[in-house]
Formats: sequence, structure tokens, C-alpha cells
Amino acid sequence: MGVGPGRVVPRLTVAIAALLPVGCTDADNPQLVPRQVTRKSIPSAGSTIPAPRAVTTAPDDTLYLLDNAGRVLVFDRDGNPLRQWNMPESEVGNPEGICVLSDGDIAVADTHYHRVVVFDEDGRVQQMIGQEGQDDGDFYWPVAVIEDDRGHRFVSEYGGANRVQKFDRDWRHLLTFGGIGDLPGEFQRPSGMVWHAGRLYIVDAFNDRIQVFDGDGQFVEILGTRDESGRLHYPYDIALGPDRDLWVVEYGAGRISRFSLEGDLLGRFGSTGSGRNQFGTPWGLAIDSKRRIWVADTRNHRLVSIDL
Amino acid sequence: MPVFLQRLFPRPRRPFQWSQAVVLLVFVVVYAAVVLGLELSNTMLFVWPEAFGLMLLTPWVWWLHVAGGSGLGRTRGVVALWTRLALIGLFVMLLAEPRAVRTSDVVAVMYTVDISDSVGRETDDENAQDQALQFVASTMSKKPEGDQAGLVVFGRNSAVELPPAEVTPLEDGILLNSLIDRDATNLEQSLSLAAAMLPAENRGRIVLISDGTETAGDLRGILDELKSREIAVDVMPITYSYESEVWVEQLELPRNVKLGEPYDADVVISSLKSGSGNLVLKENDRTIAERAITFPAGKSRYTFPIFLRSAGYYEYSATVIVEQGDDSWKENNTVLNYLFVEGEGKVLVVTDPRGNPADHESLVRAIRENQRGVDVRNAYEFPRDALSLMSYDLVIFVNVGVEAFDVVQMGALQDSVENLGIGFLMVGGPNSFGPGGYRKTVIEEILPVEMDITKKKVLPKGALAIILHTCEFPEGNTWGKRITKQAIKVLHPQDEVGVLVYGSTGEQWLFELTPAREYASLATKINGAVIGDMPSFASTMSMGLAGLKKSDASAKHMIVISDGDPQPPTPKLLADFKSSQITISTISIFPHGGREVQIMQQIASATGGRYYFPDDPSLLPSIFIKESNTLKRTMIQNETVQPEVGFPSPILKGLDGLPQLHGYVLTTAKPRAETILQTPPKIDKTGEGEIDPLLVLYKRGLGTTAAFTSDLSTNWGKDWVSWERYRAFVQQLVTRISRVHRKGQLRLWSYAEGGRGTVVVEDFHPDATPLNLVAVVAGPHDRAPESLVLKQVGPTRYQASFPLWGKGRYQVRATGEGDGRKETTHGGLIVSYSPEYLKFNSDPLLLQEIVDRTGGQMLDPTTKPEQIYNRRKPKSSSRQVFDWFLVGLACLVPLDVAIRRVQIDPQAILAWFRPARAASTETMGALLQRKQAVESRLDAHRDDPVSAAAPEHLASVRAPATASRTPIQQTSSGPPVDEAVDADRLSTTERLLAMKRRRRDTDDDAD
Repeated sequence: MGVGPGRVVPRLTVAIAALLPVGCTDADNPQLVPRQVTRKSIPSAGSTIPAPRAVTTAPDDTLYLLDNAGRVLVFDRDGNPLRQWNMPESEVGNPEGICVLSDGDIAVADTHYHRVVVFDEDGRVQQMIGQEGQDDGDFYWPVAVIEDDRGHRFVSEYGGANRVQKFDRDWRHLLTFGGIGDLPGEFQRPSGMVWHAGRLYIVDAFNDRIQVFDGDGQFVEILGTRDESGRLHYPYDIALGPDRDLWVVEYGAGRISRFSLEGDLLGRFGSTGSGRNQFGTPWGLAIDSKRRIWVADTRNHRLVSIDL
Repeated sequence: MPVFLQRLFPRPRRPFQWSQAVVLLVFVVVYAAVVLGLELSNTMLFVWPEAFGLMLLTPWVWWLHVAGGSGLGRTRGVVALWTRLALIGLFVMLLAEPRAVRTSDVVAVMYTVDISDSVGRETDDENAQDQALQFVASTMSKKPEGDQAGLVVFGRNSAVELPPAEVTPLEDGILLNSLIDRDATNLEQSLSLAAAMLPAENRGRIVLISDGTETAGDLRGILDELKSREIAVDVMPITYSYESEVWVEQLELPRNVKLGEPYDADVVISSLKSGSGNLVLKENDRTIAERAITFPAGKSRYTFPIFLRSAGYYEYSATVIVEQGDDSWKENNTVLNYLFVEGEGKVLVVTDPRGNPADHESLVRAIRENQRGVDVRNAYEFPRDALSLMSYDLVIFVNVGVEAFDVVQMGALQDSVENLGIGFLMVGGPNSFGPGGYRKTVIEEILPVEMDITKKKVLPKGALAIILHTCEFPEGNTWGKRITKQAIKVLHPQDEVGVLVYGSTGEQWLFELTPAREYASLATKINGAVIGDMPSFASTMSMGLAGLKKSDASAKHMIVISDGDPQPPTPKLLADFKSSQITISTISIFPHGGREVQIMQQIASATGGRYYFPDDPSLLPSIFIKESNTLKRTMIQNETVQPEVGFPSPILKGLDGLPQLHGYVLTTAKPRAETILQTPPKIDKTGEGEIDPLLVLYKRGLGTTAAFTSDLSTNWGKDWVSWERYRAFVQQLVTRISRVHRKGQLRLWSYAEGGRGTVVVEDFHPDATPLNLVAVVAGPHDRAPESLVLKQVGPTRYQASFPLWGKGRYQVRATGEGDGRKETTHGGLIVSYSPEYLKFNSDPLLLQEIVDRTGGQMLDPTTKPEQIYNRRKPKSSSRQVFDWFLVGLACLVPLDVAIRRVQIDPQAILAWFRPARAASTETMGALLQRKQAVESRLDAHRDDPVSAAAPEHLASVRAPATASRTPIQQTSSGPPVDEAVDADRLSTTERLLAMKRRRRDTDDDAD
């Protein structure tokens, strides 16, 4: 004789009850629990409350921010406004990438004017590099600019060439790599970059991946497509974290994700929306020395700081 | 003790001990503590606390428990009593109407900004309205985290620009998307709307920015309501006071005029102080007099001679021009009025601004040759009010598409046909009827044909996917939605259409490919769409491609509208479109600086589509309609047909041998329409004949409308134009549908005065019998016409007045009935500027009253955001939690019953978890053994029928079996049995058995 239903049902009930406290563990999608999250609007411009787009931090944790009113805004480490200036021109469109160079100047990828504008820390224009075009040294929609530890500058472009160009510290063109497509080494909007230990990590937004190159533009590997859990949705910016980890902000998924340098997903925070722990098409992120992450929460028109 | 009390409080079975009251005492203390705790901690409140009086029942329930005894064991008894008391306690709480209290420290601020004309005007320094909006943006951007802000704008009406929210996206500034009538200030409605938008659970506050010049509504009522809701109104006043102001008060024209005689036009000017300037009088936009004037403070009158040579509609304007410093507002410097001289009505031919003159030349020539006056105007010049159409008897649209008109113009035409009796004819061409986009418009409503040709046997269907990128020019998304809806209207009902956007969850189909016949539901989806900034074309284009590939349509097309800055598609994706024979047309609209057009061009050229770069959004509808028409050529029949006569009509009187037509537009005649000319029946495979209308007529309101679905030009109608009877046909057609003039006895005039309009009708009938006169007034702002009953104020005079609703033209139609007469007469009046422009001072006193009565504060442009947001006082709100208590009761009731009635045997539960197989085998083995033993004994007993041991054996066998079954009976459907009672019962059985045995033994002994 088998076990009758009179015994199976109670046993099953007890078994399920025993499992209840265990709950649904989400080992595949580890969540980050920040100590504190604060959100604030950026200063108004006329009757507008513009949306922030790109953020970066200086070594002294001063925060530089670009908004869609064509302004460069400077904040102290606590997010209090210090000063601001306007781009030389912004009728055509607004800049999308910003970087504090090792000499203290600020390089801005002036996307819709197809150039890189270099300011001193008070906002005086020092240099304008490039013109519209797809030859070496020209730009078509430059979207991000960074500097490596030897003073080389990398500028990524979308729209036309979908490529990355490398310059020396005097903005002389050194090399170009990339091109539109979804094969390794090709891009669909290389929109954010970070340099670490001889490797250039580039978020390849519409291919939903991070591509790794060496300093000579040679393709090394792809991160973010290894398994389903680490999948990205329109990664728009990338930064190096305090623990030598990679932080990525995802425009499509409205969240930030933490990866190891090898591409293992370590944690995630946020979802799409306008609520407390949500982001709306976030565009840029930066991390300061105090383990504070700054996120340009673009559609929600706010600057979010996350204390780890 | 009375009997009923004895019944209510029965004697206890066991002696009562006061220690038994401890349970009741503890319960009462705990219950009171819980209720008070909930109330005092502001967690919950009870709306009807009197209900707690019912708790007096608890001692009685307790007494019944103590006195009656429930037959339960001690512990279960106590649990049962507690459960019963808790049940009563919960029930009483439920009756007391519990509400959960929520305390919120969030401040919600509704900015309420006056954008009426008196505020929105340019002053010496800066526009007050811009300053107000900057103040809103500035304080909103610095609001504390978690607080909410929203925006209401108002004039005559009010609208919510931003609902209160923590996130306030003001990327493009405060665009003022709402349609606000700015010609009045209605503070009451605006404050009421702002208060209604404030969430009840948060501390609400209104920041009112206004000049306080209330010209509509009554503020006083709403202030008390705000006070009672504890909504403070902070006010930032906009102040002004003008000492120099000149305005034209009136332009008086004669009521009745005869052609060829001189008349006077009187202009009344008012000024706050004396001055000088020029006074200009224009007739139909042509200056007819200009005079230098010197005017004193107060009113002055100036007279100009006017002279009318021909019948028609004459609009006069009088404008005073003074030095800039002598006048504050220019808006009130011009007054309009009109004269209508009835005569033979003219024909208005309306043409396509970008069309071919050959479309209308032959027709216009033929009408002129018939001695009728003709005005030819392009669609952009078509009047926007029915009043201006009064001098025409017939309006003809010649091959002009709907995109050239706006809603107001079409409404004016509808009004003039239905209410003024003006005729309307649409002459065909590739840009008329359905292909012209008239489906589901008011023009289709008044025409005798429908554009819907679903009942006809047509034709391969098409599929259209539209990608709508956010349009970043002002009101871009509104434009995008509007033109998408227009494009769908043009499609054939069976054509499929889908729209792709970047919505709140990323790239998505707003709706997948759906037959265009479901226009109503699609329009709802389009209206409610959230269109975000699309980062990449690739994803939406891939989705569109997949959708189009799945469709069984024979023609597939995609339209992309964008400013051109998303990431372009890969060449591979474009090649996929090309190989799937799907064309993509792209429209660059306000690309960044006009430069970024390459991507859009490349997409179009790579797939064989068209590329557009309109410099004006008003061109978008025509592009969309043209693009939609790439699927829609099927509505135009480019074939030669011999017209056949259908319904007999005077139009065809004396006309024989109608020439052929070389093309026409497919339409369907409406049920009541007269089809005068039609195509010969087309016999299809099933043998059914199909007839298409060519000339259709019907009566619409007071007017007659007609549709000629071919053209009357050298294109489709070339044989008609060269036909010797062409002129006669045109004459008879025009005569049949033109307005018919009847000599009436009623005369109407109307005028505006102090915010009210007055309608006067004079009856010149020789008998002048009393009439019932009703007037219908139509006016600006899309408001429904107003009906008035005119009162008789003299032997032949009738009069009524009505409140005006803003600047604009009002048309009046009065109908008189009585004594077998029925007559209609028309008229109108023009309100030249809004009463807002007669307010020369702001009203700070009223604003101060708002502050005082609502407990707000006065603000100024230097006010810090903290002053608005930091007056914090947590607000409590409550909501019903009736349902939770019901759930609690629903759980307690069965528990109460279960405790008293259900016996749970722990042994039985433990038995579930013993190893089943072993237990089973053991039991079965034991039973089998026992069975064998019993059988062998029974056999022995049968052999020895007088064995006295048998009953004992039987009893000993039954007893364990009964014992082993008991738990199963108890936990299943068997009656609940208390252990003690059970024990008693067993001993009784034993006693009975023993007694039986004894009797049997006695009997045996006796035997």
C-alpha cells in the first residue's frame, strides 16, 4: 500500500510552511543597500528646472555636472552649488560628457557642436578641439571624454562613426578604433569610459555590454553578456569604484549595477520610475573618494547621491 | 430575584469564587488599554465612541461562562472565554467605526499662477508672467526632499500644468500647454482647482501669483472652504497702476443702410488724461480715413463719413495711435464692428495654397460668365467665423485637403451651412474627400457623402508603422499626437497602423498594427501616450520591422518623426528593411540647429522612402497625410466613366449627352442624399453591380450641400470643360445649392456693453402679431451655443441679453413663430478686446484678504523657498479600516466555535508523522493475528456453544479496535467528544456490560 492523501497533504503543508521563512532569495540579482540616498533638483534656469546629464568628480571631490540647459555646474562635496557657467554655444544642442583632466582643466564633449571644449576651473575657455567630420581628429557627436594615467585622452562618438579616438595631452591624434555594429570591437553608442590598470572599459549602450580594450585600442573582451543575471539595458556611463570595482548606470533599466573587473555582477540598486529608490533614464554617474555615488537622474530632473 | 433575571443570570452549577472574575477584570483592563493606546498614540480613531457602551455586555457573557460551564476543561474554558470576549471586543470596535490615522510631514504646494491678459502683458522692465514663472521654477527647484509641488495656471478657466509630485520635470520650462482663455481672471475657480489637486494626507498650501483683479467668479465662497481644509494661501502680488491710458470704447455704425448713400461712423475714445494722437478707420483692412486728434481726459466722440457702393460684409476697425509714454496697454486701442448689406450673394471658391490654378480656373470662369460674383481665396485665407461668410451664398472647396484648414475654420463653415443656410460644394480631385483627409471631420458631417468606403469591394490593404520620437519644439508632443491621428484618419479602415514610442518602460508599441477602423480606441491611446526621449532608433525600428513582417498587408511603410539625434540603425538593419520591401520615410523636425539631418536622410534613401525637413510644424499634417496616402491611392479611381443620371434634378434640366469623366474619388452616398449622377454599375465576379456616386446633394440644417467627386477642371473633367453645356451645368448646380434669400419682416441687431451682449429684434410685419422669439448665440472659445428667449419690450420689439464669454465674434440667429408665421433672421456682434484691458490697477486689497482669511502670508520675489516650505505642522489624515476588522471577526468566529466544539487529538497528529509503512504493517499484522485468534476461538466456541468465555473475548477484541478508531472519528466528521465525557461513557458501557453479564449469570443460575 502507498501513502494515502490523508498523510501526503499534511506533510506537504508542513514542508511548504517550513520553506516560507526562507522566502525568495535572489542570488542572481544581488541588491545593494545604501546607507543613505538623497535627491535634489539642480538650480533652476529661468522658468526651467533643467535635467542633469553628465557628472564627474575632481580629486578633491568637487562635483562637475552638465545639464540640458547648456550649463556646467560646480558643487562642493556635499552637493551645494559653488559656481556655474554656460557653454560657449548651446542653441543647437547640449553637451553630454565631462572630465576633469590631470592638469585641473575641465574637458567637455560638446556633442552637438562636434568638438571638445576645455575650460579652466573657473569656466574660461582654454581650447576647442575638433570640428564636424569623420576623419581622424574630427568629431561627430562626441559623447564622452576621459584621461588615462599617462595623460592620454580618449573621446568616444556616437551617431556617425561610433568610434573612440585617442589623443596625447596636447590633443594630437594618436589612433582611432571601433565602428558601428554589434561585433566585438564595434559599438552602438560608446557613451561612457573608464581607464584602469592599462585597460579601457567602454559601455556600449545599445549593444547592452561593456567592452574592454587595451591602451592601443586592441579589443580584449566583453563584459556584461556572460549570463542573464548580469545583463545590462542601455548602459550609459561607467565609473571605477573605491574597491576597484566597476559601477555602471543603465539608462534603459533605471538602475546602477556594480561589477567586478572580471564582469561578475556584485550588486544592483534602483529601478525605472520617479519614486524614492528609482531613476528615470539616468544618464551619468561619478564616485568620489568618500564612497559616495552621484547619479544624474535625468528624466526625474534630479541629482541623486548614494552613500555606500 | 425575578424570573427573567434568573434566566439571564442563571445560578452557577459550581460555587462561585471571586477569583473567577480575574479573567473578566484582566480583559477589561487590557481592552481599555488597547483602545486608549490606539487613540492616544494617534494610530487609530473611533468615529462613534458611544459604541463602547456595548462592552457592558461582557460581564453577562462572562457570567454565563462561569455559571453555565461549557463542559470544557479548565484551560480550554479560559481560552474559550478569552476568545469570546475578544470577539465581542472586536465587534464593538467595528461598530465604533475605526479609522487608521496617518501622519504626514510632507508639504504639498500648488503654485497657482495668473496668466490672464492683465498679467501676461509686456511692461517696461520684464513680463510679469515670466517673472512669476521664474519664481515658481526657482523655489520649486529648492524645495526640501520629499515635499511635493504642482502648478495650476488660470485666466477665465484653470488648468493643471503639473500635478503635485515630488519630481517636477520642468525641462523645457513651464510651457503652458494648457488652453487658457486669458481674457478674464477667475480666482475662485483656480483656487478651487488647486485645492482639489492637493493630496488630502499632506499639509497643503497654495502659492497664488496674481494681480487680484477678479473679473469672473466670486472668490469669497472658496476662502471659507480653504480655511476649513487648513489650506493656507500665500500670495505673491503682481502690482501695477497706470495713470496714462487711452482706449477706444466704441465704434458705432448705422443699423440699416442703403447702397449709394453716405452714413456716419462714430468712434468713442476714453482717456485717463488729455493727450493727442491719430485715429485710423479701416474698412475690410483698408484704411479709409486717418485723422490727427487731441483728446481731453474722459470720453470724446469722433465722426467719420462712410459710403457703401455694393452689397456684402464690411468689417470696420477704429484704432487710436498715441505716443508710447501716453498709453499703457495697446490691446484696447482697436475696436471692430461690421455692417452687412444684403444683396445678391457671391460664391467663395476655396483653393489649395500650393495647388494648381488650373484646378479652379474653368469653374470660376463659368460662374463669372453666369453673372455671379466670385471671390477666390486660398485655404489659409478662409474666414474663421461664420459672420464673415454672411455675404456668400455658396462656398466651393476645389481640390483642397483638410490639412490646409484648422478646426475653427471648419467649424465656421459648418455653422454657416447649418445656421445661416449658405450652400457648400466640394469638387473632387486627388486632394479632396477621403484622400484629402476629410474622414471623420465636420466637413464629412455636412457633406452628402461619406469617405468610408468599407462597403465597397476594395483593394489590397497597407500597413503603416509610425515611430514618434519626442518632438522637442514647444508643444512638440501635442503636434506629434495630432498629426498621427490625422494620418490614421486618412487610412482606409482595413489598413493597419501601429505606433512606436519610447515610453515609461522603454521602447514599446503604443499599439501594435491595428486596423485603422478602430480609430476611436487608437486615438484614446495616442492622447494618453507618454512620449520620452528615444535614445536609439535601432530598437524601435527592429520592433516595427518585426511587426510589419508579420502583417499580411501588400504595401508596408514606416514613418519616423524625430529631431534626428538618437543612435542611428545599423546598416544591417536598414538592409533588412530593404530586403523586406518596407520603405521608411523620415521627417526631421527642428533638428538640433538644423544640422543633424544626415542620419534621417540616410535612413530614407537606404530604404527607398522620402525625406522631409519642414521648417514649420504646420506642414507636418500634410506630410503625414501624404505619407499615409502612399498606402491609399486606392481611393482614387483613375478610369474613364460615362456618368449616368440617378435622381432627377433641375440641375440636369436641358442637359443631354453628358461627357465622360476621366477619374473620380471613391465615396459612399449618405442614406438621405440624392445621387444625381453616378457611375455605371461595375459588375464583379459575383455578378453584383457596384455604383459609385459622382454628384450627390442633400439638405443640411438650413443649407444645401453637394459633392462632385470628379473634378470640373482640365484634368478628370477635360471633356466637361470643353462641353458647350458646361456653363449651363455650372449655373444650374450653383443655383440649386446656393442660399435662397427670402424677404423677411424681422430685423436683428445686437451689441455688447459691460460684459453683456444684447439682442434686439424688430418685427416690421404689417400686422405685427405677437411672436415667440428664440435666439441662438454662438461665440468664441468652442463654447456650446446659448439659447435665449426674447421678451417683448414694445409693440414690435423683442429683446434679451446674455453674458459674453470673452473676446471674439458672436453670431446670433433668431427665429420667430406665431400666427402661422415662421421667420429667421441673423446678426452678430464683435467683442474687440477682453475686459481685462479695462483694469488699470491691480487689487492688493483683495489679495490681502485672501492671505488674512486663509492664514497665509505675503510673498515677494526675494522670498526664500524655506519661507514657503518650512512652516511645517504634521498633518493627520484617516481612512476607514472597517475591512481589517471584518477580517479579524471572520477569523475569530470560527475560532470561537472551534475551541468549544472541536477536539484535537495530539496523538492522531503525531500518528501522521510516524513511519507509515511500518505502522501499517504492524497494525495489519496485529489485526490479522487477532483475527485468526478470534476465528479459532469462535470455531472452538461453535464447537462448544455454551462456552462462558466468549463475551469476554469479544469484548477484549472490540475494545482495542474501538480505541484505535476513536481519533479518526474525532478529527473527521464525527461528533466532538470530550475526553472526560468519553471516559465516563466507556465506564458506563463497561458497567452496562457487567450488569448484562451479571443478569445472564443470574438467569443461568436460575435455569
